[in-house]
Amino acid sequence: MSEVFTEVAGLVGQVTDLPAEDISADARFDALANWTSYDALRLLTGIEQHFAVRLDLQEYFAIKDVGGLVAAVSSARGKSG
Amino acid sequence: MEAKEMLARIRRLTEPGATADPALPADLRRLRDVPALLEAGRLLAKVPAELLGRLTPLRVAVTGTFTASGVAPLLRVALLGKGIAPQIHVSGFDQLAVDLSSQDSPLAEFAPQVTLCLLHDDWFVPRDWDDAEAFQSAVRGRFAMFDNLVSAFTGRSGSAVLVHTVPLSPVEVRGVVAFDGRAALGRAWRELNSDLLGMALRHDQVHALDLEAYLVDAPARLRDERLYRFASAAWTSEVEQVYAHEAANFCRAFLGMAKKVLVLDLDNTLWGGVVGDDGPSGIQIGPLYPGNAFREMQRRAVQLRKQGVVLALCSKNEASIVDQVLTEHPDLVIRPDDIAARAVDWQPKDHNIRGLAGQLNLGLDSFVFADDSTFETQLVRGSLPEVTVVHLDGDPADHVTALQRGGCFDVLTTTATDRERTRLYKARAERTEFADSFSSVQDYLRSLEIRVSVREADEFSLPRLVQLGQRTNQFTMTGSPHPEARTREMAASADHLVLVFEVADRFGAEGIVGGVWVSKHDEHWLIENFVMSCRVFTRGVEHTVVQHIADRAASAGAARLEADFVATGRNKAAAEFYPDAGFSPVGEGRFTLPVVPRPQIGPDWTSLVVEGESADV
Repeated sequence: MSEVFTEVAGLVGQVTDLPAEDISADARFDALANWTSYDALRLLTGIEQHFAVRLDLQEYFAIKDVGGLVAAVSSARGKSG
Repeated sequence: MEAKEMLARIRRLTEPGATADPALPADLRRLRDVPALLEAGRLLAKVPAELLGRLTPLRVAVTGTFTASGVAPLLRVALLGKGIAPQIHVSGFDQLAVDLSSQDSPLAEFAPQVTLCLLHDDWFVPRDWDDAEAFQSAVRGRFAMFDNLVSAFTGRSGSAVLVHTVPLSPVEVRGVVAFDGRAALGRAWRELNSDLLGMALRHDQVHALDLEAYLVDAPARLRDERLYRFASAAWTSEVEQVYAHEAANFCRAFLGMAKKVLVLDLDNTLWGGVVGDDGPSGIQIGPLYPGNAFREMQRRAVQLRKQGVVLALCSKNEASIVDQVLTEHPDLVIRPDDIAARAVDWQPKDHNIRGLAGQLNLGLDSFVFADDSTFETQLVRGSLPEVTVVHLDGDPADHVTALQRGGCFDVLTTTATDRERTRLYKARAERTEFADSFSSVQDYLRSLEIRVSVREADEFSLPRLVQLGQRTNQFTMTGSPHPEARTREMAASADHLVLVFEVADRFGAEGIVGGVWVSKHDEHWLIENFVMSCRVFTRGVEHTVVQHIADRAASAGAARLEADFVATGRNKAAAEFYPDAGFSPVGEGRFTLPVVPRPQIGPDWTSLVVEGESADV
């Protein structure tokens, strides 16, 4: 499991109040307990601050699962690095 | 990582059957990381207030012209850090106009004590405009509408309202290509902000926060364009935090919980170096760095003193050397007259601060202690948790910012009495020493030649009276002081009597130290509330004032005087008063005293002066 995945899962856990261990790469956001579009924005802000990246909002909302978000973060980091 | 531990600590409190954590609110003040603050605020919303120790409740409503989802959680953390347990009502997106105008909006039903109005530029900016003049007239129109909404709302609800200055987005500014045009735009915008600030001067219940001025100091972008376009979020969370921090300071001031005393260390706090080692001429103070940084600290301390904050010293030093420096050193700004009380010796500082509280007769929860030493700040933090501790570590040039940042001394208004407070407390300390030379308390009180002057509250004394009502925790008869509007109403009504009183003695005049809210009925007069500064407690002043009211009631044909009393947990000093003055209890929270024949309440060592008495009808 990549370092980025662990950190993303931690942030998803914080936003949803779910234990980070229970969050897998194929977990779909719309299937997470307590998931709303407001939580999606909270997660976006958290991710962007934590990784010092900036995501395209339309691409971000098209992401379906945690694995997709990890890929987007890794790619954004690659661009800025 | 401290933030993670703090979040885990809060999360534990959300679990069923959690053990109380009364130390948490004070520790929240150390949390600075904005994402952690946001999470902390969301979690704390689920924590029952009784798990967090003794806190003052407050009902706060947040309404606005845009989505500010972070303000409520950030505000919750900031308020808890100041000892306030908020109940927060958050309105939906752009509900401001509905909230302020409708009598049965959810906000109106919530009945807030404080209503925060969050504003953003596009609510004022017209959609299309060709020149600065058109821009200005449209902005003026929007402001007039906002002003009317707020006036109507305060009149109807009794809630205090906090408005703020609005930063203009750089997108708007850069949209104009001509420098002249930008200047005109900027000017029109500043006129709006000036009008917003002016609302606080025109309406009693409206207060203003100069947000634009605080943002100058914050490393924050105003908004994230993506989140603005997607979710109408006009502020980044950093801006929300700046706002929440200042709004919480306002709420504390609103509740009359401002700190009253600043206790300062000397070596490496008010000057650089150690005077006992370096000698009076060896300390760093003067026009050059770092001496000028310490001088700035002294200037700001004196500035606080001039606005009513009582200054005290607490330093491990030889008193005689300190005395010499304070009176003789040419570069000092702070002088002996600025200081109300001193504890300069080798006793532990927690012991000395407790002593200062006794000497000044002020609660430790109104104390701020500033010191450069980790040892002393930790000692006081651990041993006197009620005291707010400011650790002045790092570069001395940053000390003033550290002291000011908490806004501990912020109040809604200052009055003439505030500006003289140090002198009053100093005289009080001298009086305590004088008392030692008398054999009985009565002898001492007789020698003081106490004069009590009573008069009806007028335009000049009313603000001070309302402030006293809010600030007084010990000698007050109720936990819910009369608000300014009600006090004004009563003062203007023939069926009520609102009195203020001053006390003077051979050591000086105390200014307005108390007041009484009375409603007149045919058979009886009712004392709704009676507040008095604890500075003049135990001298028979309160008895003299009630004697006056009893006499007036009897002359107006009433048969008895009645008085209400509600215990608040902090007004034990007042609980004894009515029984002591001869009143007997009738039912829950009510006392009564026949005024025919005239009772003798006032002591023989005070004299009463009645100023400008009008006939009671």
